[in-house]
Amino acid sequence: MTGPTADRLDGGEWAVAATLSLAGLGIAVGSQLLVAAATLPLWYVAAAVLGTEPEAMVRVQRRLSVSDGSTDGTAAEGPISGAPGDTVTVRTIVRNTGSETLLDLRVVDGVPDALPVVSGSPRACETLEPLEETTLEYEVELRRGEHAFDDATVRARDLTGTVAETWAASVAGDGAIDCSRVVETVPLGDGTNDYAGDVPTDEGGTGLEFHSVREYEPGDPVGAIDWRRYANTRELATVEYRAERSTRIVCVVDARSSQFRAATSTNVPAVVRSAHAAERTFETLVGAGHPTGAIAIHDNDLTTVPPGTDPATRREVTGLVDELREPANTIHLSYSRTETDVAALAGRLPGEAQVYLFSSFIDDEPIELVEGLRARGYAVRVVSPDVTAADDVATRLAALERGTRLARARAAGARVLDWDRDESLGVRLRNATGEVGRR
Amino acid sequence: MSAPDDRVPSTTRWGIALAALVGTVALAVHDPMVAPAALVGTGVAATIGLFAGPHRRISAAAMLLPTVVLGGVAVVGLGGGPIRALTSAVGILVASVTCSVVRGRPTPSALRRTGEAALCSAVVAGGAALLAFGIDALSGPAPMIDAILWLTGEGVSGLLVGLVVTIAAIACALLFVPLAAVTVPSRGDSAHKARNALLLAAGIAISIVVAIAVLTVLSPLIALFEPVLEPIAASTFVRGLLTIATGSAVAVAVLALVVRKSWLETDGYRNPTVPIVVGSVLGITLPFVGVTGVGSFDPAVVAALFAAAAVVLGVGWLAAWLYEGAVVRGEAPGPELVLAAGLAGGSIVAGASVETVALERETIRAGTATFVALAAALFTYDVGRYGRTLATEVGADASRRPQVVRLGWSGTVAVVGIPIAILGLAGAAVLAPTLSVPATAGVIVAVTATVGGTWLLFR
Repeated sequence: MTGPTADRLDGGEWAVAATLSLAGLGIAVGSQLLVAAATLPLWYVAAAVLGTEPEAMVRVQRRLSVSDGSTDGTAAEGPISGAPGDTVTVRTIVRNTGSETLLDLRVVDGVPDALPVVSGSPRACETLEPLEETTLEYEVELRRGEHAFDDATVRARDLTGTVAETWAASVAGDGAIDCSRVVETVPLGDGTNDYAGDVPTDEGGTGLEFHSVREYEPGDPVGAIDWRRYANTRELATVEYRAERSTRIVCVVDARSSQFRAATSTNVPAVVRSAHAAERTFETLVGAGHPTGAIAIHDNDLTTVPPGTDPATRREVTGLVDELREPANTIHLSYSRTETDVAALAGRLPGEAQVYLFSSFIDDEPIELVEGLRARGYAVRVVSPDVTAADDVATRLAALERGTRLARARAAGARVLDWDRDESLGVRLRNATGEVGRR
Repeated sequence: MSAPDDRVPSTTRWGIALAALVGTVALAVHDPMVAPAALVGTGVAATIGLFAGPHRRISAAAMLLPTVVLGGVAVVGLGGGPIRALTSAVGILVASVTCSVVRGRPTPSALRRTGEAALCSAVVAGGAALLAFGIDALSGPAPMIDAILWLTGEGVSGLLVGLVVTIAAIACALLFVPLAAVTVPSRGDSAHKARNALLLAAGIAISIVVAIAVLTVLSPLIALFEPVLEPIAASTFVRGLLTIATGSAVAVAVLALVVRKSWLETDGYRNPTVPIVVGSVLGITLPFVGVTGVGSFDPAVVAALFAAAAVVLGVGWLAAWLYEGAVVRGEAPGPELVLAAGLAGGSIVAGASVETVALERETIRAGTATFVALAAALFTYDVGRYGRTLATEVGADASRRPQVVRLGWSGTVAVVGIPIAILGLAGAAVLAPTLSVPATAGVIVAVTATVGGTWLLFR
């Protein structure tokens, strides 16, 4: 909070000028009416003279809540978190804690520049009796990153409007929003096959959610006929629901030698974190009934477990992940991958499968893989453990390059989860596939 | 963060409008001509607002604009003196600007269309004024029409010249009308061929008429046809048909040229030139025909009315053009400031109209107009500044309560000075001629010095 500054906004100069002009004009044209009228502006001069600095004391409190109600700033510890595009409702309560009525109190909340206000206004002008309060309620749309709210700017004017006191009032309550995607928010993509399942698509068919009404065709089930429309217009029409299809998912773990890098000597390497994340993701997806497989990319070969939900598939995936967790048991060779390897990986993937890629993106090959898979029409989700957290120049340069690669992956159409090393996957991974996409 | 806009909040807007109404009523007490002038001003504002709508509204606005201006010129002209004309002009200004305060500033496109319509109407009104002067010079509309009908001369030669002029005018109209205005792109080629064929036919017709004219001069045999040609050449009906055809073709050709020019200059898909031109022409032509057709009006008055309207419309075009540029650059003064200036101007005009203060009805009326209108002007300026600052800092959706408090305060300051000024004026009237204008000014200086001293003391 900064100290208040008082400004005299109006000294009545304009009224003095008006008085002198009218008086001069009246004398010039010999009109006593105008000379007498010249006294009128003087009252505004007197009003400006009477203006005094208002004694304003306010308390400001802010509450943030994500619009879907899943997160409330009052209950969570640390900053409020949300996904990009989510709407956050901000309620800033301003209370007059002084003993005088604030006739003209203007408040502007310190909304971060990066967050656009999509509804309501973070500005208000109110008259507040002692202990009366007003609420600024508005909504901002989340953007990626961490955002901190500034102090609220408060300005109080006196009755005459000629003196104003302005200060930055510190705001109690919530003041920051974290908009970094976490593992559990990485949703299923839009890759589905022709089998019935529980992933809604944009096709009409059988399902639960209404999709469209089309002209009746012979052979349509009687139950799908829109009988109300028939009663009104005597025209047969068929109601279609959003078709729900099945999908298959493949967790691709980057286990090349470059993935044995760790943030520090005391941290686990990227491949171990990737294997851990893949295992948890696999369990959640299989638990949700989605056939899921795994592919490990080594320096010179691929290890594949076809998608499935049966116990045999679970055993094979568990074995593969356990092997990846023990890098000492694996011989790693220096090997440069080519586009042919992307084709080889694509050849192991079922048609219209969704791909979860676990890689630290410490080199260029994962991004080539993402772009190659996207070019072939696969929905790609990236979970990338961050191993570039050290402070030396080389690591910072590597972090910049990694950020660029992740941006390229996003630009290619992949949804990316940048997994910070300080985040505990075990705590956060509660609902790995809670959200499903649509075709 | 959403950027606050520059529109004055609604409560403040309505407060300003109320002050403007009070000031206008006060001015109307002094001079009743302010009331019809205010109606004209409201009509001007409504007309400008119509220009922001679709083409039907634009054509209606273009037709209304010259009509409203003619009414305004008539109102100001009927004032009978410069003071009343000035007061009426102030009434028009105050009413139109008050509408801008309430409804918002006109958009740049509406201002541009208003200017275009004003320019077009000015040209047509100028032509109407010339026509009225001609009627006045020829002592009535009938001789004027007669002169127009026989403009190409009498006899067979005059008929042939008229034919040539008519065919040439029709050919020009055919040539200038854009094909896109009469056909669709898929039929463009066939329309092009049809137009060329019509132009060829017009050329052949002109050639035949010229040939007949040559034969009329050179060949004695043609005299045999004189009994047939003379009645046709002397027929008023035939000359009327030719004149109507020529006039219509010239009008279509001019409209087509304007449309061609405007289409080349426009950036948008929709071009309101046609409704503007048609509306403007009708807006001048219909009143002119109505006024001259009645016959009871002096042609000289009609000519002066339309000439003055042409000048006002021309000035209006210039003002609209300048104001549009200022609005686009963001340099236009706020309507509240203009309104305050208008009310103050009306107050000064009312105050200057009374030289000697005496306790009589005229002085009371002038004093009421001067003081109340000036108080309204001061209130409008003060509250207008407040509202604009509030809009800049908070936005146009600011809550009502602080605005009402501020309006009440400023209104109190504006009103409290009126009875004191009236008391001072009554004292001046009682003491007159002892308390002369310089003495009154001395009192003002003394009061000013007192207030200034108080101000310095409080500082």
